[in-house]
Amino acid sequence: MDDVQTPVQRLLTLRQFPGFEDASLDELAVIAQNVVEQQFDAGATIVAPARSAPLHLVVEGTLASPSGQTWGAHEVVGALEAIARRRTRDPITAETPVRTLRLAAADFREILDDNYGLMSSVRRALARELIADLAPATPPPVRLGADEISAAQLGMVDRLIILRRYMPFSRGRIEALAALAQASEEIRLPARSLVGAQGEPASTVLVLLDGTVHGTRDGVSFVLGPGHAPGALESLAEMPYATTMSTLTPIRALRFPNVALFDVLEDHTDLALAMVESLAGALVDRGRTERPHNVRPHVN
Amino acid sequence: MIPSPANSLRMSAASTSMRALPADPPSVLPPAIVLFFVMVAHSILETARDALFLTRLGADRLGWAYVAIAALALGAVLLVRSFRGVREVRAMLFAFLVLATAGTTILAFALTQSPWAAFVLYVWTGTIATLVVPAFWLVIERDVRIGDAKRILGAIAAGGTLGALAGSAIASLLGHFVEARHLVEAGAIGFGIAAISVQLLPAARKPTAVPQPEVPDVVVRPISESAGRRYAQLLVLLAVVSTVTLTIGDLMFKRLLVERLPADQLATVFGATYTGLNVIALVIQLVVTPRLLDRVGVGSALAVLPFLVLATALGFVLTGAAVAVFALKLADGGLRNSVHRVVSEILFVPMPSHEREKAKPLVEVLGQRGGQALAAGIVLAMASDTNATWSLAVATTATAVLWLLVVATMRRAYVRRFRDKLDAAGIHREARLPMLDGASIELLVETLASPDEREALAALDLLAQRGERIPALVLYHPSDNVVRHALSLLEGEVRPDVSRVLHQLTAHADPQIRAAALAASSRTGLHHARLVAALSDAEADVRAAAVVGLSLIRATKRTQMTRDVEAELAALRDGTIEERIALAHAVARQPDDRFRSLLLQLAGRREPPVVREVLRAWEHAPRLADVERLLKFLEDPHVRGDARRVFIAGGELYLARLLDALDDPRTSLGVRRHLPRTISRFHSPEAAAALVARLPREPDGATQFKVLRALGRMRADTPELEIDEAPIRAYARRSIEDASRYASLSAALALHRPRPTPGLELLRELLDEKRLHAIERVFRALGILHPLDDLRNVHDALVGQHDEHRGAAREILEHLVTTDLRAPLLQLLEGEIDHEALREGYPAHRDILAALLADPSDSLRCVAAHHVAELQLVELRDELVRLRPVTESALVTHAFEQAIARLHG
Repeated sequence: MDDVQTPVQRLLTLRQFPGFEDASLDELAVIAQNVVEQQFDAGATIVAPARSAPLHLVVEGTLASPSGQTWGAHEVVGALEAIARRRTRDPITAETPVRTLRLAAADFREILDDNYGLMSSVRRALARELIADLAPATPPPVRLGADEISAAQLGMVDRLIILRRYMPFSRGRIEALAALAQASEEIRLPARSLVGAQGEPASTVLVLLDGTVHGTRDGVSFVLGPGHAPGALESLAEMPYATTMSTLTPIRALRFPNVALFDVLEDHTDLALAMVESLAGALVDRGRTERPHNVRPHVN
Repeated sequence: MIPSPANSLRMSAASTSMRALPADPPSVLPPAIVLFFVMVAHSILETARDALFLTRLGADRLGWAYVAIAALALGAVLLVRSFRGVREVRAMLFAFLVLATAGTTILAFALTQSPWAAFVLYVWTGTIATLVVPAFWLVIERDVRIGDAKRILGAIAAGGTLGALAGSAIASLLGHFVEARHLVEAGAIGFGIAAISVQLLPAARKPTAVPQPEVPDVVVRPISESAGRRYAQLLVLLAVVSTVTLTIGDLMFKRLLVERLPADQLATVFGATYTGLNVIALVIQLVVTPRLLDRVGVGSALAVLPFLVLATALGFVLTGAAVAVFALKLADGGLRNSVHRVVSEILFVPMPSHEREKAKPLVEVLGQRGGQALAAGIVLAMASDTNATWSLAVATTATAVLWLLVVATMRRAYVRRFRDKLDAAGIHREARLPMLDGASIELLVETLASPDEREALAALDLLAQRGERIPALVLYHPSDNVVRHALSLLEGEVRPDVSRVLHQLTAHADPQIRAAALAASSRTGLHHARLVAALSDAEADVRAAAVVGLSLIRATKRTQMTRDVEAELAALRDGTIEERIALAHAVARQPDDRFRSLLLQLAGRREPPVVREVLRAWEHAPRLADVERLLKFLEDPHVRGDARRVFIAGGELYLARLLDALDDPRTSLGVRRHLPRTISRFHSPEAAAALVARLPREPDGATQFKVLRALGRMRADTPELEIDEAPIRAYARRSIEDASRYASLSAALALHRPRPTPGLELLRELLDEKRLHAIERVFRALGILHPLDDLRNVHDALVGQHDEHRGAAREILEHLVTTDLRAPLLQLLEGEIDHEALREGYPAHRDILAALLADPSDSLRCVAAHHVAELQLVELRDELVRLRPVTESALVTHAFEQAIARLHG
C-alpha cells in the first residue's frame, strides 16, 4: 500500500503512473504540490458526469463505471476528458475503499501550460495512441475543412487567416499562428510525388490547400484532400511516418518543418495546449474512456 | 511540498449543500442613513456625558469610567457571542438600538437623582457604542467584496460623520438653551429613530439550496485556521494600541481645556469643538479618503493617523507648545472616523464571514474598550505627576511608535490574507524537490529492493537527482530495466562494491547491461579478456563499449588488436544510425581527448539521436566540445535541452561565449532566441546582469520576451540574486504604455463602424491579444522585482472572471507596486478609455490604420496592411510606400508590397 503523506512518498507514487515515468522530477514535484489526497468509502461516486471534472490518480482501491470498465492502483481516471475539457459520460464509483490523488482539470491544464516538458510528454503520448488506434483507412483526426483559397501566392496574413479557420489552430493566439505562418512555405507538387514513406522520419507537416494525397497503411488505401494535414500526427508523436503517402493529383499546400513547429509550440504554449486538447478530444470521440496503461510514455 | 491534514479530504455520500447566492453590489444610501441617525444620537449623548461628567465628577475620574466601560462591554460581548449563529446580525443591531433607546430614556430621568448617574451615563454611552457600532458594520460587511468595500465604506462612513456633525451641532445649539442633562433625552430620541431606520437595511439573503456536484470541479485548498487566528489577534492588537494612543491624546486635550475654561462653558465648547472637527472629518471623508485609498492603498492609509499623532505628540514633548496638542486633536478628530475607521473596517473584509463575526465584537471590546481602560490605567498612574500633560505626551509618543510598528505588521498580514485566498484557488508553481533526510534515504534504499520495477526506478531517480549514493545491491535487481538504469547512473570511479558485481554483468543476456558493465570494467582495468571477446559480439552496444574500452587501454602501441579496434570503430561510425548511437553512447560513458574528432564527426551527421549522445559525452567532458557547433545546436528543438546542459557543464568559459553571442548582431535569430534561457541556467550574478542589460537593447520582440522569462525564472529559483531594478521598472512602464496604446487602438476601431472583413476581425483580436500580452509582460517584470510574491497568480486573477479574486489581486498589487507604476497600471486594468479623445485623435477609420501601419509590432503592421488592401483604401497607398523601408523585417516589407500590389489591382 502506497503511503503518500511525505513529499518523497508522494513523488515515488506519482512516478509510477504512466506518462509520468519520463517526466523530470522537478516537473513532477509541481504535480505533487498540487494534488490533494482523497479517500472514498466503497459505493461513493468519485467522478460524476460533469464538464471539467477533476482527474484522479488512483493510489489504492478499485473503481468501476456502469459500462463495466474498472480502474485500479496506478491508473488515472478522467485524464482525457480533463485535458480535452469534455464532459465525463458515466459516473465512476468506488468498488472498494479508494484513495486517490485528485487534481482539478483546470489545474492540470495550467501545469501543462507551465511545464513544457510535461506538455511534450503528454502530446507525444496522445499522438502515439491515436496513431496506434487509427484504422488504416481512417484519415488522421487533425482534419481541416475545405475553403476558398486565393490562387495567387499567399502572403503571411493570408496563411494566418487560413490556419485559424481550422482546429486546433483556431484556439491558438494570433501571434502563435503568425509565427507558424511565417515559418511555413507554400509548395506545389505534381501528381505522383512522394510525400512520406512509412518508417521514414517525419520532418515536416503539410496542410493541404488543394489536390489529393493517396496513402497506404498495412495494405489499405485512403485519400486525403484539402483540409487534411499529412504527417501531422507523426510529427506530434515524434515518430516516423506511419503510412506511405504520395500525391494523387497536383497539390498545393503549406509546409512547416517540424523544427519550426516545435519552436512555435515551445514559445506559444497556448497553441501547444490547444494541440494537446485536440488530440485528447479525438481520443474521447473515439468512444474511449481513459485507460492510462495505454498511454505510452515517450522514450528518447 | 509538505502534505498536511488540511489538504487531505474525505468524501463519502452524495450531498446537497446550502450556500448563499452571490450578492448584488450593495447600495450606499440606506446604511448611510442608519449610521447617520446612530451617530446623531451618539454625538448628542457624547457631548452630554462629557459635560455632565466633567462638571459633576471631574476629569480625574475619567479613567475609572473607561475601566468600567471595558468591563461592562466585555461582559455584554461575551453574552452576545453566546447568541451568535442564533440571531441574524440585522436583528441584533435592531435589538441593540431598542435597548439603547430604553436605557438612555431611563438614565435621562435618573440624572436628576444623583451626581453618580453621570458616571453611569458615561459607561452606558461607551457600552452601547461598543455593541451598536460593530453590529452595524457586520451588517454592511456581510457580503461585501474588497472592491465594493473600498468604494462604499467611505461613503457610508461619511453618513456617520455627517450624523456626528449634526449631533454635535444639535448638542451645541441645545447647550445654549437647556441644561446638559436634557441632551440625554434628545439622544434617546435619536436612538429610537435609528432603531426604526434599521428596517431600511436589507435582510440577510436566505441560503438557497443549490445542488452541488458530488465532486466540485475545482480543488480549493483550505486556508489555515491558524493564519486566521493570527490575523484576528493582530486586529485586536492594532485596535488596542491605536485606542490607547488616541485616548491618552484625547485626555491630554481635555485636561488642557478643563485647565483653561470655566465649567459652565465646557458643554458649549465641547459641542463647538466636536462640530468643527466633524466638519473637517466630513470634508476629509468625502474628498481625501477615496483619493488616499486610491493612491496609496489600504496599507499606507493605515499609517497616516499614527504618523500625524506621533509627529504632534513629539512636537509637544520637545517644545511644550499647546498648539501641538490642538494639532493632535485636529488629526484625531479629522481622521479617526474618516480615514482610520474606514481603513480599519476594510481590514475585516478579507476575513471569511464566520471569522469576522467572531472577531469583530472582540476587537471592539478588547481593542476599543480594553484600550481605553489601559489608557485610563496609564492616566491614573500619572495623575499625581506635577507635569501630567507632558507625561501624557511622552506616553502618546511611545504608543504611537508602537502603533506604527503594528501597522507595518498588519499591512503585511492584510496582503497575506489576499495572497492566501489566491493561493488557495490557484496552482502552486514553485515546487522544489524535497531534501532527503535520513528517513527518506532509508525509505528510498528500501524501495530499490521492491519487486515492482516502477517503484524501484522511481527510487533510483530520486536518489540520483539528489546526488545520493546508488547502492551496489540494486545491480542484483531481477528487472533488467532497473539494472540498466542503475548502471547508467554509476559514473566516474567504480566503487569496490560495484566492481564485485560487474564480473557477472559482463555476461548478462541484455546487451545494454553487458555494454554498461564492460564500460565500467574498462575503467577498473578488469575483465580485459571479456572486452576483447566483446569486439565480435552481435550487438552494436557491446561492440561499441569494447571498442571504446580497448581504445583507452591500448593507446600506447600499435598492434593487431589496435588495428582491429580501429577497424571496428570505423565500421560503427560509418554503419547504421543505431551503430552510431551505440558508438556515441559508449564514448559518452568514457569521454576522452582521444575521441574529440570522432565526436565532431558524429555531431556533423546532424542525426538527433546520435547528436544527443555526443552532447552527453560533451556534458561529461566539456573540454571536448566545439562551442561554435554547440551554439548552432540551440536551434534544434530535438537536442536543445542537451546542448544547454553542455553549456552549464562548461562553466564560466562557455557563459562568456553565450554572452558574446547575445550581444553579437551576427548571431542568427534561431540561436539568439534560445540564448536567454540557456544563460539563465547559470544562475550567476554575471548572467543575470547580462540579461538585465540586454532587456532594453534587444531589438527582436520574441527574444526580448525570452529575456524577461529567463530573468523571471532566475529570480524565482534564486530570489536573493541581485539585479539592477531600474531597467526592469522602465520595461514595465513601457509595457504599460504599450497595453494602453493597444487598448486605445482597439476602442478606436469600434468608433467608425467600418465594413466587417476577415482582416478587421483579425486586427481587433490581435489588438486585444497584444494588450493582454503587454499586461502579462508588466506582471512578468513585476515578478522579477518581487520574486516571492507569485505575481503569476495575481495576473491570472486580474484577467480572470472571479470578482473576489480580482479584488484580492488588486489589493496585492496596490501593496507591491511603486506609485509611478501603480496609477497607470490600475487605470489600464480598469479599462478606462477617453472616447472623446479617441474621436479627436482618429477622426476616420483610415487614421487608425495609418497609426497601425507605423506600430512597432510587425504582426500588427502586416495585418493592418492586409486590411488596407482589403478595403481598397488607396489613400493610404502613400503611407504604405513611405513606411515600407522603415522596417528591417522582410516579413513586413513583403506584406506592405503585397498590399500595394493589391491596391493597384
